[in-house]
Formats: sequence, C-alpha cells, structure tokens
Amino acid sequence: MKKAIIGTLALTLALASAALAQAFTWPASWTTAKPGEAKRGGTFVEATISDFRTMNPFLSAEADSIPDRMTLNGIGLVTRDPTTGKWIPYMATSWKVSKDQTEITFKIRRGMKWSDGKPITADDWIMTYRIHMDPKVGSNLRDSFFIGDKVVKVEKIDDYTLRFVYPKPDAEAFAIASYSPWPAHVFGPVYEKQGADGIKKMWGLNEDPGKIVTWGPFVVASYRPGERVVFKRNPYFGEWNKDAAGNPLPYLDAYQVNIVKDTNAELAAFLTGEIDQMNPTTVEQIAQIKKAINAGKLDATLKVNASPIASSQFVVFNWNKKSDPFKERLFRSAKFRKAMSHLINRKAVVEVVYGGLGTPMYGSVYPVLTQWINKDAPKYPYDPEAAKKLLAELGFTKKDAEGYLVDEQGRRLEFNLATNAGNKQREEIAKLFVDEAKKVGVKINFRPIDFNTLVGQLLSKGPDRPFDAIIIGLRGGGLDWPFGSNVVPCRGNLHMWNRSGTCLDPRETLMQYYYYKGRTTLDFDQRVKIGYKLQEVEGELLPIVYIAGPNYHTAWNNRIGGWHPDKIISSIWRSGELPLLYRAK
Amino acid sequence: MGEYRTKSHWQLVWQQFKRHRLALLGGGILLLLYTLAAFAGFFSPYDPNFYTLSPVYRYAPPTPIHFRDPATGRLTRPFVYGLKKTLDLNTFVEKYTEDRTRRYPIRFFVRTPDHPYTIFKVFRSDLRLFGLGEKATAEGARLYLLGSDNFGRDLWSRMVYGAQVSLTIGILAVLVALILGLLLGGLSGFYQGTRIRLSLPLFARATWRYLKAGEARGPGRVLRVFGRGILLVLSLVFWLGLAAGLLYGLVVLTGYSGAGERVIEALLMVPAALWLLSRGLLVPFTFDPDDLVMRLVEILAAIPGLFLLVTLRSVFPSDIDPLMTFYIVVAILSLIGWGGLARTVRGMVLSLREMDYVTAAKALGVPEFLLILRHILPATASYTIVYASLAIPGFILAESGLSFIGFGITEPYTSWGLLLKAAQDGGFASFADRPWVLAPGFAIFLAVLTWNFVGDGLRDAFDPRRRR
Amino acid sequence: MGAYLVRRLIHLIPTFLGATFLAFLILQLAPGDFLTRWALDPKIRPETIALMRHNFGLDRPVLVQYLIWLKNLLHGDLGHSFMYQQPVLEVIWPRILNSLILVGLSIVFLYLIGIPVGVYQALRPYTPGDYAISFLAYFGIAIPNFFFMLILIYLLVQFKFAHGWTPFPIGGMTSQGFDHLPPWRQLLDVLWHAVLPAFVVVTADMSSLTRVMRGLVMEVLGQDYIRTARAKGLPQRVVLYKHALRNAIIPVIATIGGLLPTLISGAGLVEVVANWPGMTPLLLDAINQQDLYVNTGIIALSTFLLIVGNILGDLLLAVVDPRIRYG
Repeated sequence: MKKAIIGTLALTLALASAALAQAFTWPASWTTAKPGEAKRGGTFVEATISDFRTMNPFLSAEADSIPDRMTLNGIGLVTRDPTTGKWIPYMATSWKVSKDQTEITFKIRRGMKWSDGKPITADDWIMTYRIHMDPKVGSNLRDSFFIGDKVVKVEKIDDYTLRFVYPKPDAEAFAIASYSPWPAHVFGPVYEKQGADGIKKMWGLNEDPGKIVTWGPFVVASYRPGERVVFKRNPYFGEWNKDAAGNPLPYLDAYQVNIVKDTNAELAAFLTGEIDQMNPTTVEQIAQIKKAINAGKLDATLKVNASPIASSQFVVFNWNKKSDPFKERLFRSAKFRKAMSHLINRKAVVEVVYGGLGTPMYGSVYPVLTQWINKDAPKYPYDPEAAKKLLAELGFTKKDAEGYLVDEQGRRLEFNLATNAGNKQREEIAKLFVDEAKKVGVKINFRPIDFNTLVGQLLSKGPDRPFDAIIIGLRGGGLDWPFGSNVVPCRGNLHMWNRSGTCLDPRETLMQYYYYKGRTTLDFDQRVKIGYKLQEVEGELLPIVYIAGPNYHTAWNNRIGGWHPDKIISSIWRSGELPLLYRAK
Repeated sequence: MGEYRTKSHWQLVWQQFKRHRLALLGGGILLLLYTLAAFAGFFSPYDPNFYTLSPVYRYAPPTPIHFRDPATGRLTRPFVYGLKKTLDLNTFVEKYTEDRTRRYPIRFFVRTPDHPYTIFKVFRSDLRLFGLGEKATAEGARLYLLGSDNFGRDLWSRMVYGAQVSLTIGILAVLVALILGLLLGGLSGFYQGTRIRLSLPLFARATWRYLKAGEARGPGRVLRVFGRGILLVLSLVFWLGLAAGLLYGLVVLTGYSGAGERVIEALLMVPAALWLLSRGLLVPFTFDPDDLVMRLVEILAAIPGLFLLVTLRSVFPSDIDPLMTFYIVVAILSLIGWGGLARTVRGMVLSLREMDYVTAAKALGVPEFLLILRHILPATASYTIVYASLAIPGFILAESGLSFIGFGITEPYTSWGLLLKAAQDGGFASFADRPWVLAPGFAIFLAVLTWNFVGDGLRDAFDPRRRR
Repeated sequence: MGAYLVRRLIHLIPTFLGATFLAFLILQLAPGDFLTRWALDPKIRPETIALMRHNFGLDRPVLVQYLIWLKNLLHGDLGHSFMYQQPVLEVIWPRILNSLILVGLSIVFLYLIGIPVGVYQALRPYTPGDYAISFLAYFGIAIPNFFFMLILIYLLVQFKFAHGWTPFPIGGMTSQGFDHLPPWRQLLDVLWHAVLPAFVVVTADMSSLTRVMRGLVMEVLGQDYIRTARAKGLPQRVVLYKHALRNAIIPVIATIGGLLPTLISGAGLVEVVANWPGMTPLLLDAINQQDLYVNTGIIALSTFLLIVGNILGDLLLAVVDPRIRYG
C-alpha cells in the first residue's frame, strides 16, 4: 500500500515542472468506493453538538472548530495513514532526519495553492508558527511547540524547504510538524502592523466568508449563528489531491455542519435524513436507528462497537494527606489500590452504564490503541475474594457493629469519593463501586461535586490535599506516545495521585524514567517496547485504577458513499475521509 | 339569610369550595398522592435503591399479572411468572420473557425483613402493602408495576419515593417564599413613607440628640448608652470604610485606564466618595424601606429565572449531603418566587393601613408588630392561600426543569423530575420501546393539574363576587 | 407625564447597578472560572493557563472587574466573550433576534387565542365548553414545555416514517438553502419553523390568560352599566365589544409591557429541544463555561428591558384607560 503512494509520488516527481502540481494520491485502501465509482457534486451534511466559536485558527480552542473542519482536522506537512497508523508525507513530498535525530527537513509539495489562488510556500508555515508562538495571541497550539520547557524551532531553508529543530529527539516530532499552515499573505501584513491585537480581530464568526482562505478541500461559504456552517469546494484543492483513478478531489460540491444542541434532536435529524452521518452514543439511539433501518424507513449503515473510544475513566487516590496519616498510608499502598481494582465490577459497569456496549480498562493506554496495549501487564479484575485477602494483609480482618472492616486499632476502612455532579455515567459508576465495596465491608461516602471544585481539588499541590478519591476521565494522548507528558512525570500537573513535586515510590521514578526514554526515542518499534515496560511497572504500582469506557459506534445514510472499510473504522480514524466522500444517490 | 349569618368566614369558604367539583376531585387526588408519599415504604414493594447485578434487569417492562390459573382456567389469586432475560443482538435491546415454569403469587401485607424502611425517619417497619416476598426476590422474580430503570430498580417504588421530594419541594418552597414575601412585602407596605436612619454622623445634631435620649433614666440604661455608643462607632467605620473602599477602587481602576479615562473616573468617583464621607460625618443617611424592598424585587425580577436557578445552584457548595441539595433547591426556588407575592402584599398593606380599624388600633397604642401580625396580615390570608396553592404547581414544574438540566436532586434520593430526566435521556426509545418510563411525567402532570384545580376552587371560594 | 418618566428613569439606575452587580457577584462566587476546565487538558501547560487568566483580566479583584465593566459600558461596550473572542453584543445580538421571532410569535398566538377563548368562557360559564377549555389549558401548564416539544418531535418523526413528509420541520430555524431564498420566502420559512415551538411555549401561558380574561369579562358583565346598556336595548354585540370588552381588557394590556424582557431571555428549554438558535442555548453555554461577560451582558440587557417594559406598560395603561394620569 505504502509502496503504491511512493510509486505515484516518484512518478509525479519525475513529471513535475514548475507549472504542474505534484499531486498527492488518496489511496484506494482508505475508501470502500471502487476507483472511478464516485460521482461528483452534492452536499454532505453532518451535525455537531456545540456551537462554533470562531473561524480564526489562532483563537479556536474548542475540540470541534471551523478551522479544523477546513483543514482535515488540522493536518499539514504530514498526515497519518489510517491503515498503518504511520506518518506519511502530505503537504510535504519527503523528509530527511538528521543523524542526531534533532532536525527534520521537509521538502514542500510544489504547485499547491490557497483557496484564493495564491501559491503555498514555506513562508506560510513560518508565519503561522510565529503567530501561534506569540503569547499575546493566546493560541491553543502554542504549547504543542514546547518539549518540556524548550521550544521547537521552525526554519525556512528556501521557498519549498522547511527545517524543524527539536531540543532533543522526540516521539512527537512529526505530530508537532503536522500543524496546519495558514496564509501568510492574509495574516502576515496584519500581524506585522498591528501585532496580536490585529490577529485577534480577524476571522470572527461574523467575518465575510469571502475573506476566509484555506488550503483544505472546503472553504466557508456561510455561517448562521447557532444553526449551521456551509462550506463550498475549494477548486484549487483538486489540483494536487487526486483519487486513485487520478480524479481531482473532493467529489462533493459542498459540506454542511448543522449545530444541534440536543442529542434527541440529532437523532431525529438523522432518522429523517436531514443529516447524513451521526455517531450514536447510547444503546437507545442505536436501537432506534436499527429499528428504522429494519423497518425500511431509513436507508443507512450502522456500525456498532466499531472500537472502544479514545478516553479513560478512572479512580485516583490522593497520596498527599499529611493531616490524616491513616488514609495517607492506605492510599500510598499498592495493595490497597489493587484491592479497590478488584472491587470494581467492570462487567456490571459496561452493562448498566453503557448498556452492554463498552470495554473494560485496566491500564492508562486506551484499549483502542491496540498496537500499544501490553497484554501481559498485570491486571486486577473484579474479584471480591481477592480484595478481601489483600485488605486482610493490610490488617483489616475484623468487622465493626455496622459490618465495616476495621484494623487492629479499630480504625474503620472508610473514605470519601467524588466525581463531577451532573455526569450521569460517572455517578452511576460511583454507585456501583460504592455498593460493591459495601458488600466486603469498605465504607465509601460518595458525593458528586461541582466540576470546577473537583478540578481544583485534583490539581491542588503540596503535602496535604483536600480529597480522598475522585472518579474522573481524561482525553487526548496520542498514537506516537500514549502516555501523558504531564501525567507520568512526577512534577507534571496531572500527576494527580501525588502532587508533592517528587516521586514517592521507586516505581514512580521508574515510570518517569521509561516515559522520558520513550519520549526521546524516534524509532516507533523501539518506543512500543519501552511502552510495554512502562505498562508493566504501571501494573505493579497501579497509581490509577481504571474502570471502563463506552464503545464508538457510527452510522451513515447510504446516500453518501466512500466511507472507510470496516477495519479502519474506529474512534481514532473515524468513519471516513471527507475528500473521499461522495453522493451515491 | 339568617341561617347564613351564623356561619363563620371559613365555613362559608368551605361551603363554596365544596361546590367546585373539580376542586374537590383535585383535593381528593392530592390527598391520595400525599398519602402515598408519606407512607412510601408501605406502598412500594421494593427499596427504591434495591438492585442485583446477576442478572441485571435493565429496563424490564411492567411485569404481567395473571389472574387465571393456566391449568384450570379459573380465577385464582393474582400471580406473576419468573423473569427471563435475553439480549436481542439485532436491535441491541434486552428482551424479557416470562419463565412459565416458575410461579409466584402476589402477597399482600408482606414482610421484608432484609429490606426495612422508615416512616418519617422515625418508625421502622418492614410491612409492605404488596410484594412477592424475600424468597421470590432472591430467586430472581420481580414484580415491576411500572418496569425498571437501567440498574433494574423498581420504577414504581422509585416513583412513590420520588413523590416525597417532588410533592414536598413545592410546599416547602412556597412556605419559605410566603414567609419572605409576607415579611418583606408587609414591612415594605406598612413602613412606606417612614424613613429609616442608617447613619449616625459624628457632627450632626440629630446624632447627639439620639445619644442624649439614650441616657434617659429607665430599665437597662447602661446597656442602652453602651449600645448607642457602639452604633456610633459602627456607623463611622461603615461609612468611612465605604468611602475608603471606593477610593481604593479608584486607585486600582486607574491602573487599567488611559489618561483621559482617569479624569472621568476621578470626576465620577471622588464626589461619590465625598458623598459617602458626608453621610458618615455630617448628614444622616435615611431611606424608605419600601424603596429598598421594591428595588430588590425589581432586581430579582430582572435577572432571567433560568439564569438564577443555574448560577445560584453552582454558588452553593455541592460537596454536601444529597439531602442538603434538596434544601438548597428549596431555598433557590423560594428565593426566586417571593418577589411577586411581596409586591402584591405590599399593595394590599398600603391600602389596609389606611383602614379605619387599623388607625383605630394604632390610636389605641397597639405595638406595631402586633398591629401587623394581628390586624394587617390576616386580612391578606385569602390572597395568600390562593397564591400558595397556585404557586406550588409552579415550583413542582421548576424542580423538574432544574433536574432536566442536571442541577436538581441527586442520588440516592430521587424525584419525579429526576425520573423524567432519565426518561428524556432515553430519548425516543422512551416513547417507542418503554413508554411506562414516562409515568413520572404523568405524575407531575397529575400533581400540577390537581393543585391548580384546588387553587382555582379556593380562589372562587374566597372571592365573594364569584360565589354561586 | 415628563416628570414621571424622568423619575422612573432615575429609578432605573440603582436597579440596573444592583442587578448587574448581583449577577457579577454570583458568577464570581461560583468556584473556578472560564479557564478551569482547560486545566484537565493534558496538552496545555499551567503557565499558559496563568497567562490566559491574566490576559482575560480574571486575576483582578471582583470589584475592579465590575468597575471596569461599568466603565466600558459607558462606551457602549458590553465586554468581550471568552468563548467567542468577540464583543459580547456581536455574540448576543443574532440570538436576541432569533428569540424575538419565537417569543414574538408565541405572544401573538397567546393574545389571538387567549382573549377570544377567555371571552367565550365568560359568556358561557360552567358549561361543558367552559370546562373542556379549562381542562385543555390546565393540560398546557401541567406538562413541562421541553417535554411536550420532545413528544411533538417524536410524533413528527413517526409521521415522516408513515407518510414520507412532515407538516412542520423537525427542529431548527431555517431550511437548508435558506440563504438563496427570496426575502418573503425566508420570512415564511422562519415562521413555518417557529410555529410548533411557539405553540408549545403558548400552552404554558394560555391557562393563566384565559382564566384572567374569563374572570375579568365575567366581572365586567356583572356591573351596573352593562345592565343599563342591556336595558337600553343595545344589541348584545355592541354591549360586549363596546362596553364590556374595552374595560375588561385594560388589566391584560398592562401585562404586555412585562413581556418585554421575556422577549430576550428566550423561550427557555424549548429552544434547546427544538434546536432553535435563541438565547437559552447561548445562556446555558455561557453559564456552563463561565463566560463572565456574556452572562453579565444578558443580565444587563434583560434588566434594562424589564424596566423599560414596566414603564411602557404603565404608559399603555394610561393610553387605554383615561382614568389613569401620571403626574
């Protein structure tokens, strides 16, 4: 597969002249459509739950933004091949890594044009980088150019050559280099003249769509506040993006995203064909879609349990409780945490909370990242008997009048548990945990609390922090190195269990060691091996007790074709590539 | 006519109320609902938080109750069959079928020693009106009158327990709103036009007169002199503090402004500070309490209710016992609801205080608070009662709205709003596949409807013009 | 009259300051701020959050923030939205217009249906028709609006399944391709979308209006001058419209001014369920995300409108009722 791309690339390279674009060919393996099958024209309609905030790529901070929608989720020089997960050149044609692995030089594809017809050159990347890096702009991407406290530099060699200089070899080197460029001829003059304030005033939601410029397949045509954004095809995109048969992409004339703030309304829109695609999140929605399909009311395809979703749910215990040495000793004990893991009935969580469509979790790597999962890492599944045994080893052998476990000194095994109020699924998980724990004699006092208070407690620093245990989740975490840069290292601000600032357990130090070792390893396979080791230590220490997560499901109306083949439909690769979608009916 | 004269006001009202058939019907249904809520444990076959994990009876439908013996076809005591669960892989929905091999009679006045309950948190009991008994429950049989939720908890039991919250929340919120509204509205109306002094300026003659008056002989003289001295100090600290605070604010604010703006800010705020200073030192500050209360009412009316509901909820600490959240919800609801009542009561008091019987009582030297308590507020009783009965359904609805956006009652307690929210979360499946989960919505509907009937009946009964 | 207006406008100032400061205080008392939820993003460094907090001015004392906000207000600047990175007015304005359409239409429905129905009930009290209408009206208040809307949407989906088309759109405010329609078609399109949610909103208020109207008309019909008019032999129609209705309607007119702030606070949760891009979804978002200035801006506008509405109501009353004069 990969050979095929390089083959085409080589061929186009040979043909390339200044006038002719070097084309990127979208591999046939990324779509179910046969080459030449796709028709041209038509609109694809999607829905999103939250309103868009801005069209300005330097200000957008939300997970789903108009700039991201225009640039295929913010890719640039390189992109990932969903069939292998590896980085491949996209707006670049090739790259070279220096011997010490701290410099990567990219050759930029020639002949690419902005949606206003101006050529795309190295200057665009440089200007984009400069604006992102200006702290006064407050770009969300700024932090991605930092490795630790040191900055990644982007240098222009010539109009079609860029060099990225890293402070040290880095696992995320390509992810960092993949940021999307924005037109220097639009942003540059404003930035030079008015600085950050000028940038902040640009491309708000009421900007004239005619002024929006992108390299991506679609460019904004209109936006109605709180209702929908309509994108139209960027005619210049097809000059350098071809399908396997050599046809220009995208096939569609337009692409539309409706803002639907209520999941029931979204389901109604999908069932009646107003939107073409949705990712049902509950078994009830799936049942409704299935029912409509079975009854012949809806011509759609439903992929249930395509993969686990890329996020985690877990219980974290507070190691910094100077004011309560009894609890502190308890929470710092790996045996205690393993006992707690044995008390979490993950099967029941999946059944009750996720309606049977979920996946249990035992470690920090999301189950969807199959390449990264070390199946041999220690696991502590639901087993009340094992929990009882571990707790007895900790001295909790007797029960008091109310039936709760006490130690020799008569201290009851009791702690508080919190999660953010209003999160029904987490509250239900907590309920299951509390009830299971009660059965073996562990008293858990559960209180849902305000999200911001919860975060405040979780991120508090020092030797005495205000919580016992919290159920929370994390998103993010990449395919390159799925361990959090501020989670694993002992000084990280999301090192939630221990924020004393130093490693307290030798296994924490070891995890931190493996974290940095993997992070500075550029070779993928080697990095996976280090990741395996890290997971083994993590399993021994069990700093966080993971619970379970829902699965990713997707459904589309059969009006639209060109979706991913089944094996690459997942919460990571989603259901399809926008440029390859086409109107089938 | 002679016969009527012997009847008291309340007898008349009751007589009129009885003629309002819808109101009587509503009253009857409400009585039933409140009885159910009060003896929730007795009327529910299960503990509202009872569930088992093997198997999980997720969203089981209402259990069919059989009255005929399948073998003989004759009427027998009602019974249910065992419950069998399979997962329909085609639609991803659990399917429940009857296990005809097992038969469980429904038992009345059954005891459940493993699951006791309390009435009003005082009396412990385990007697339930109906149920299958502990043995059948342990064998996995269930009697779900209204199906179960995602944990497999009995929805009927949860609804009966939810009634405790939903039905009392309205009454409690109305009570608090009534107290606030009557108190503030009454005071505001009664004292309208009387100016209250809120400062004891150091250099004003009135202040010294006031202090002198305190030295008059009489019981508690020492305390009085001392107290007035403290008031003087407090007034000084308060007003000078305000002025200083404002000036400090000015200094900080100018740090964020351009040169031109600084002049304007100084021009606005220095006089304001001087004014405050003068109230503390020279001129007494007086105000009309009516103004204050009415401005407060206006302010509360100005802020959108939804906004107040949600933001106030987030101000109150949520790191508290779930029962506390119940009281907080009550407090928030009443905090929003008292304004309208206060305004109307004020209007009534304004005209009442000019009535002859009030001026007469005043002339007789009846103390003011007794005057308000004995003579003025009772005259607003009929309006108050009608207001209360019509406001309760509003509060019941508000609670369901609050639960809908996730700011209401929390587990392990439950309310109709919370149960309706669960139905809403199920989306269309709740309509299509398990309509019985909408029952809490029907309960809300019933309660709101009947309270309105009763309120209307009361209004007609109290209103002499509407008597028939 | 002029003096009265001036006095009312002066009263506006403390109310306005009180309401906005109260809102400001409540918002700031709530734990955390707009940036708190960023802290859980593994990709964002704490230094960045501190920097943003400074840029947003969230590290200043509450009173100073409020004073700065007031100062900017004098320039006609309601502040900057954190979420949208835009001036608050630009964010709120389109939403106000949208809510205005929905609430406006529902008010039209309310008076168009409520007044005649109330009059009908007053003319035939205690008949089956009267009871039936009362019951329907009760039904309207007793069912939570958002839930009623959800039921209607479900029914629409079923209708679509059965017949392949729907009499009303399923949520939203405009059809696809709205921007290419001629203006009159655009207007029709929006109204067509607004009918169902407006109807749902009306159901909640209908009972109180019909009840009030019924009571008022019944009361007026019992008055001596009506009896006199009838005794004079005036036709029923004239008695009703010229004498009774004109007097009965006065208190109802006084309530119109009070509706002004509801115009901008939106139609409530119906907007969320019906996917109507009005004020409520924005307000909920802003509260959730603690977008301080959007919240305060909405409060400021609604306070202003409430007071103006009250004044307008009083003036309207003076116009329709010659007995009322303001000095």
